[in-house]
Amino acid sequence: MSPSLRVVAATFIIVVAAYYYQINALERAEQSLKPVVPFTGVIAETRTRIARSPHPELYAPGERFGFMVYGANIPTNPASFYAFQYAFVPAMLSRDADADRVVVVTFPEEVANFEANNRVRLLDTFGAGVHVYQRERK
Amino acid sequence: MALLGLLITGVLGAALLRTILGTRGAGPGGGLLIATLGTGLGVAMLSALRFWCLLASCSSHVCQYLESGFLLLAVIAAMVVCWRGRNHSIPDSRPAVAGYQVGRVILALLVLIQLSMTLQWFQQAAQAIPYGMWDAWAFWNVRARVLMLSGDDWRRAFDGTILHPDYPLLLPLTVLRGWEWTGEMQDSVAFAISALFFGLTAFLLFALLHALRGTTAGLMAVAVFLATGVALEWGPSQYADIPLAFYYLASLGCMTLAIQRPEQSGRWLAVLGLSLSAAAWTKNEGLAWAAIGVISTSIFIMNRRLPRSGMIWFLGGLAPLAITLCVFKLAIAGQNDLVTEQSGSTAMEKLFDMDRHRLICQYLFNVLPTWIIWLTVCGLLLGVRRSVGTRMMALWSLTQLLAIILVYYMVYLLTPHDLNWHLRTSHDRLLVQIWPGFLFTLFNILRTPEEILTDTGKNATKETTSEKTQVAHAGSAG
Repeated sequence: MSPSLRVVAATFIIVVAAYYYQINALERAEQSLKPVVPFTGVIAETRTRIARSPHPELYAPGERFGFMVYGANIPTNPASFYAFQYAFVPAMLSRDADADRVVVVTFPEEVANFEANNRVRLLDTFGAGVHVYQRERK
Repeated sequence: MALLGLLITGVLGAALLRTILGTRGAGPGGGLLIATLGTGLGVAMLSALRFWCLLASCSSHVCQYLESGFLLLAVIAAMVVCWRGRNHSIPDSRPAVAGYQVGRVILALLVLIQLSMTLQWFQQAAQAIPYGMWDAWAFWNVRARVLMLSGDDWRRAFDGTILHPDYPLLLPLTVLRGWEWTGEMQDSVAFAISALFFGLTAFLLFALLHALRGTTAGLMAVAVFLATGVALEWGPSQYADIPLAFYYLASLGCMTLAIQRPEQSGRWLAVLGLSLSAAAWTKNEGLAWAAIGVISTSIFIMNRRLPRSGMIWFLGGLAPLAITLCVFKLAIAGQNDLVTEQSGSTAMEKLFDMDRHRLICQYLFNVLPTWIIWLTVCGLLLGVRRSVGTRMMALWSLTQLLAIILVYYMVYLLTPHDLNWHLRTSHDRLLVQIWPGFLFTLFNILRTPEEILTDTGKNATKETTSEKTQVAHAGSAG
């Protein structure tokens, strides 16, 4: 094969393959995107729920809430995402383990398991798996 | 303010790199190389500085003053070096540019289109996954958040509550620096860092090949990189794999420059040391990469393939980040789950479990992109360069790449976790780590279209003789 033909063939392969693969790869990547609910949406929903709650006193300012994430598959649960990023860390830092109330973010199917393993009383639920419990003291 | 932080990082890194390279600089086509490599190394060095500030209980403001002070010193040093080197230059040894204008224009247009599509993809990802993917919020960014909020009690970020307390700190501390410069914990900072490293990797790949082999080789390699599905998918993830890919690529590039520019080999070995330690400061896989790099570079120097004096430069470049990493690993980091959950007897069983070998091979071969076929065809069409320098570079680079693949293989083989899960969640990211380095090595070894068209067979022979002389000279100089 002549040098010119070899160069043209190599360039052709790179150009066509790069264009084709990038289009394909981007299509695949776009399809694989699983958008999470922005945390601002979850916070707004939390506030709305609190405002509409038949027991607004549950969320009185100054109440100490502990936060925890319970169960697996956290990434697929937007509410868990909120908890992990914006509640879990402050809770971990404040070591608010003695708080009277605890906000648990979990999957609905994990709730029974959580309640069986902890001495708690359900106060409220909202979002896609946010449960607010009262801790029962010994 | 975030832009100011980024500007400080880029300018400081570039100025420091220019100072290390001395009066000759990075040679023809080296401006982009200094900008991209310098920015990446600046990120690593300033994250290490932030770590020392944490240890010394300095506030973020003190750290920012220190950054500004170092920036001033580095810029002054770089200006002095540039002024002293105004009459020095490195001869341009790249292939002639004549005879392939149309091909180069087509390739340049392709890369521009690809860059625009990539930019659109990142904009889309910024809307859909502004917080990155699982590992980003499970430990990389959460650790940064704890460090930001915890004040003097920052060691709690490593008490085991957050996953992987042994992972190095380049990424969390860079996110932390971004938040400190912006004054609040904006999610866009972590995303911007992710996008920055993807862009830096693409531009460094081009810059290295542009400086060593000419524009065409650089354009071809970048075109392939931007069209690699796994790289695009993991680009906006906010994981440490793309930054690690950047430092792998930087290491391979620096070693090649150390070999191909004997008059500057010591200085490029210093930058190689810095790049290797930056990889180790990014992720645990980088630690293995750095260890392999230190061993293979030492062997090269002992065998007089590189000047003996290069060892001092190499260790000098390696030391700052290596010491930082040692202090972190010995004094702060938690235990590694792969080590603590391992037991001797089961490890032996796993070594000889053929099902595990089969499963690992299935995953690793499945992820090999179809690009490999097309690149093989291109390789056959373009042909391989034959020179002493090319052989040395190929030997070092392929040793690095094959050794790190072997390390990954062994980690999978001995993993205490469920092998299927471990492979499923990480095997394609490992390809992303080594892919830019592989592309650099390949296009550095292959002849360029210009070389083929101008039929530089005779020139290549002359070049080989010249390189032989240079290498022999370098060896005797040591």
